[in-house]
Amino acid sequence: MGSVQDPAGTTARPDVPPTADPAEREEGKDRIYVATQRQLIWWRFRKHKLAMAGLVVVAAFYLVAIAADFLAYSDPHDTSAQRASMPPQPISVLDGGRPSLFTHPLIGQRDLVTFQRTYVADESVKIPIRLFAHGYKYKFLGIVPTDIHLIGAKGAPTENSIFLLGTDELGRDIFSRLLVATRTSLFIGLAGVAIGIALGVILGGISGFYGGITDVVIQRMIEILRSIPTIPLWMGVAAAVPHTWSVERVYFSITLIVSVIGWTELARVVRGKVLQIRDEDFVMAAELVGSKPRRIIFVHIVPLFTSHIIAATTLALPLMIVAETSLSFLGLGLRAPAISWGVMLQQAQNIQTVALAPWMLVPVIPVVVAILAFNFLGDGLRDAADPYS
Amino acid sequence: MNQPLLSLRGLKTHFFGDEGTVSAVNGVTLDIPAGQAVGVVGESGCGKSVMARSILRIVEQPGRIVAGEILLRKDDAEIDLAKLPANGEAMRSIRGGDISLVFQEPMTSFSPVHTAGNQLIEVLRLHRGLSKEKAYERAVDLLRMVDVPSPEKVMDSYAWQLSGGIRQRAMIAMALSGEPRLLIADEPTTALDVTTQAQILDLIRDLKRDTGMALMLITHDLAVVAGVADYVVVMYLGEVVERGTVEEIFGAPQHPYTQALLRSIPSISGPPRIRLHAIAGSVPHPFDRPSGCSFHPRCPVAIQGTCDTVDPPLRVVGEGHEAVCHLVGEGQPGSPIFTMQDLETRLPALAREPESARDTMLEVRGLGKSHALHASPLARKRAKVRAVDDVNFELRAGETLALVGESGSGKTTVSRCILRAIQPDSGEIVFRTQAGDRLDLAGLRTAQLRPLRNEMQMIFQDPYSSLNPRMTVFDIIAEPLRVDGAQGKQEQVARVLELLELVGLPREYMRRYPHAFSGGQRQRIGIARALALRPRLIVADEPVSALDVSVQAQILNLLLELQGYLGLTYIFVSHDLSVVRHVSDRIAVMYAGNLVELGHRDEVMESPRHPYTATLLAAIPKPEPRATTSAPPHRGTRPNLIDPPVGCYFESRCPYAVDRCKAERPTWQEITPGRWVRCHRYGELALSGIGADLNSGIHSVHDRSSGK
Repeated sequence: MGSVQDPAGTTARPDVPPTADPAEREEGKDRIYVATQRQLIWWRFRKHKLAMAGLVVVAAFYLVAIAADFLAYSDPHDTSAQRASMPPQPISVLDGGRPSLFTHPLIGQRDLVTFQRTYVADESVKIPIRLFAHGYKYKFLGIVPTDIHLIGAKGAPTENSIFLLGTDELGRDIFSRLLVATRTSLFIGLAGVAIGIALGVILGGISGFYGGITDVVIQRMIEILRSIPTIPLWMGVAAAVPHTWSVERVYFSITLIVSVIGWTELARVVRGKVLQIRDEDFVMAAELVGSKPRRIIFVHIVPLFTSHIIAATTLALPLMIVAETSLSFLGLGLRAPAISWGVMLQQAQNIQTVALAPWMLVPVIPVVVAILAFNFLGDGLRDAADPYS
Repeated sequence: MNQPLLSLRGLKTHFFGDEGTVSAVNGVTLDIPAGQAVGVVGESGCGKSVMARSILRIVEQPGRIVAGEILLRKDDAEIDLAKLPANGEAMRSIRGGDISLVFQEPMTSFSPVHTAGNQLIEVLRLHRGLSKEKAYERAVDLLRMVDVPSPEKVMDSYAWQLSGGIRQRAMIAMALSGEPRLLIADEPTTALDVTTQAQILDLIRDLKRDTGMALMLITHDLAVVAGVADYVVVMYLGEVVERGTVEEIFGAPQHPYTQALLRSIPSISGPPRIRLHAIAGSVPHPFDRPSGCSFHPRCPVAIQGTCDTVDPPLRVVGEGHEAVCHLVGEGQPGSPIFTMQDLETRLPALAREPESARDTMLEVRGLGKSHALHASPLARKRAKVRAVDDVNFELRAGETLALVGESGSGKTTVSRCILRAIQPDSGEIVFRTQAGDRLDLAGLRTAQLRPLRNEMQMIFQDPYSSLNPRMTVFDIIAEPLRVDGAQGKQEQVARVLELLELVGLPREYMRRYPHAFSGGQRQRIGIARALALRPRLIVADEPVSALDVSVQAQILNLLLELQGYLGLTYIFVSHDLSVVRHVSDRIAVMYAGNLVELGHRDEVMESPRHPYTATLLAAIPKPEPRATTSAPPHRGTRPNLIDPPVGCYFESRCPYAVDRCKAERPTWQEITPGRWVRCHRYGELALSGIGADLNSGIHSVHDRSSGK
């Protein structure tokens, strides 16, 4: 593989005569000599600015997703015709030069010429906004029941007072819904990806390690699975699952079924890697000292491509997110009352919404940002995974 | 003619990487006279290739020429190539037009999707502006000029359909297409077999004579340079340390580095199985460029306080002969710094008596192995290549048996069958264990083989592939102990430290990962791992062929030392007869999966009885100035082992073949006790081996430098 070449300028290739006193050498060099693979990957990854930014953004997204209910202030399911299609309304931070968080109540009116609902802020009334206010009830991390939210209105129902990103046609707060949707969209693909990776590594590994008939059977299986078109399959599965299931459960089962196909790509990569590593002399050396296949696979082969698996995962996740978003948009994935980026965008499908309430397209931003961040992160990981190349 | 064709004046090419600046070429000054051949010699990592690329202005990013001049004489004027824009019109016409380059790896130099002919024609049309028909004719002429048999056929072939030697010839033909005045050949024979190497070197020498072009031959192997070059430039860490005519460099080398390089070549005429003069350590990374003379940490005669602090001066030794060294002309040099203590004093507990040589350790009878080819799944029958066919030999305890042959001769397959890394198809491999039992390894199952693993081990060719990059040196060497499971952690640590000492590595290296080591050091780690279970038999598969000549000498010394000390038995697989002669007791020559000759080292080398052995012997490059390798007339090709010929496999290349050889396959017969040959005509032929007449050349260098 020539995996380990040493062109001038890459990782230091310290050809020091064996007789030289090691104490003479600098600390910094010694650090590289004893660096583990993981450290080398990390050092190289750190140099990749875009990937580091991607890492930060992805981490932020998951933090937001975990704390979605805490960061949200309105009950995302609470509807009211009184506040339908409200535009975003800012929070004032200064009250006559003094720092103070407050907002003005909005009065909804019907424009008698266009029949469009317009909202005017009542500047005379101030609704103060408190930090760590009580609001709707939820379970923090799904365990701790609480009703504390980062912000909340004081003296009036929060649902009727704060609209950072406006509301949708049913009067639900878009900001709060977006946070909850982030959680759904980021986590719902994880299980599918995890199953896909497990299947890919195990079947690809077996295929590459044992070869022969096993390899042929697995490879043909992969080819058959890859020939099945995805969208009709999703539609079929969506129609086949029991109607009594909750929407999340339906979607979860669909991702699982899709992951049964999604492993094929990774299996092929893993098979190639295993075939390549299997031919390395150190594997033969291990065989010649009497190592059993299990030790060879788990001590000599798997650790050499874990970094590739991590990179593959990072690149598979955005695919899952896009899949969720686009399928929900088409009405095949999640459906209301579930909240996800795709479901929110589905509501913005008609031209009327786009023209009159453009703020309902806001979920596009996190979709684009998250997918870019995941891809930068994955590219960086993949580049860093081979510190010797 | 006194005006040099190309002159480098203080050329500096630096690479600006993330970790710092690498001074790959650090002030090189040299001249290439028109029509003369200049050999550039030095170990890997000395900046030879970067210098060649700098001349053609094809240095890769982030490298850059930072200083110096590259003066090319063209139409009675001097052009400084270093000042021309690298991708400009002028530079493009010089590349291929005035100066051509031949790379080490001919496979990657050709596109796999175009025929060799198309690529040649394209170059001719681009550079010479020929019409399609004219270009075709010229391409065939060029191929004929580089002695390609049936050039029309090669024109229609893809690079991967050609053998390594033909590919390199086609590459040279392409380089010649622009009728360059200077041909730069960068390690043109390193990837080739000995016999092919000899032919290519002859070709290069003939081309130089016939076309009058100048030649720059870059290599790490001084023996290659000797026969071709008129002048020799020795480079170390991006600097020229000595230059002079080939006679002066080989006859009166001045710089300790040149002397050391010359002495590290295993002589084909001196006494066998002696310690070679190795150069200590290896080329440091340019980041760690030593102060003063950059060679001083490895120099056997360095003067403390001078060589390590003061830059050495350039001293003119004779006309055109210069060396950069404090010691030149300074009389008596100091004493060697690097001497390996005797193993007996360091590790007395490990000494083991060699086993009685009368005992047979291993008997191989009728060994055969075929590899299935990847055929299309629709093919009824899968084609098979017979890699090894009817191999018979005995291995006596305590000896070194060398398996010699070109690549593809089956020697590696035989060695792997013996270790049962692969399962032979037929035959017996009877091994006498320590306990005295005789077991047929060919018939054992994997589980039954496991207890035998501590009796035989392997040393691998590729020091990069043979160490797991995820494991520390300790984990690598302790792996056999761990699998064996007989020792606790404390004992394992003690044993690993002992092994590190045994192979000459400091104990601090235990925590490091393989990426911290050079090829030679990695090979030492591999040897330590092979020795961990105290084996009796070691199979070494080309253990030094991936290493520089200087480092090769270190490893060969170590192997010989270990054998004497630990009472080991070696099977030594190699393509290099000068190395084989140096380490072996008996030599077995393989060709196309057959043993063709087996006998005592001196018998085989001095009076070969098989024409193939004679061919191999004649191909060894001789480290003497202007020595012509008596290269074998190259005729015929190797037999197709998918469909082997009826007669002798060597018939197609044998200069002595008669009708009988075509019709009947010779048998493996013992002609005198211990001497086996597979040839119909062994009795009639008078083949020449390496004779006493070769004892001049390199030998005088040894005498001169040791008497200094």
